Amino acid sequence: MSDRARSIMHSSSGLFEIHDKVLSVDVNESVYSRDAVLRTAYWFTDRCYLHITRPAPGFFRIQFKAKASPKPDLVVATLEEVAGEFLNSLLDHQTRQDIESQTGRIRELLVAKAFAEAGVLEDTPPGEPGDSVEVHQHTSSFVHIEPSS
Amino acid sequence: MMPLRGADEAPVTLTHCVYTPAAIEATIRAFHELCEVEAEIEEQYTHLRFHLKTDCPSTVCDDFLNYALELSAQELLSKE
Repeated sequence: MSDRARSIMHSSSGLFEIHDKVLSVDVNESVYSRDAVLRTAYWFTDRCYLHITRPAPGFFRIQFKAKASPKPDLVVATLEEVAGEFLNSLLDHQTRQDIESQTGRIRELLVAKAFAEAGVLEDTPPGEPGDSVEVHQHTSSFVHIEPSS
Repeated sequence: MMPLRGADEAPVTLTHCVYTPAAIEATIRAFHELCEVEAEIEEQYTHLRFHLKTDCPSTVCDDFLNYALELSAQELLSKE
């Protein structure tokens, strides 16, 4: 058995491969977009060290490294836990993105309609609220007040 | 200025589809007190070689990668 083969460990779930205390996960870009991977990774940088590579076109390899390593066994368990949470979070982000792309336009229309009915999208009157006003005396008994330009 | 420990870290290759050149450059600037980094751009990749300074933490390279990833994510996701 080669040194490399001996140094490779498999997590208890069998989902991940751990080599030199670095856990690696390959994700297919046709399932998980780059944005979903980045968005997920951003939220995990406070828990572990991450390095993302592109081993082949259409694939991302996410490598996890524990930030603190009190015990080797604990590192494996912790990494597996973090990687599992990462994959769940990645799926969550990708699903949100897919739903957004399918229903985003409808949501925009609903929001626009709601604002239109509330009347907040009407044209604003000219001038500023703090503008002084000029009073013009007309021959009639009515006083015409308009904002100064 | 801290003396260099030498190029004792393995070279790292960053793909530009994840790590933008601007983010890599900003990270190199941010870490210049802890390590000197040789960067070589080759098409869609940047190859990095770290020269750690003495007394710098052993996790500098990993911290560097996390920082670059955070900056890249901010840059790429803000373009949406």
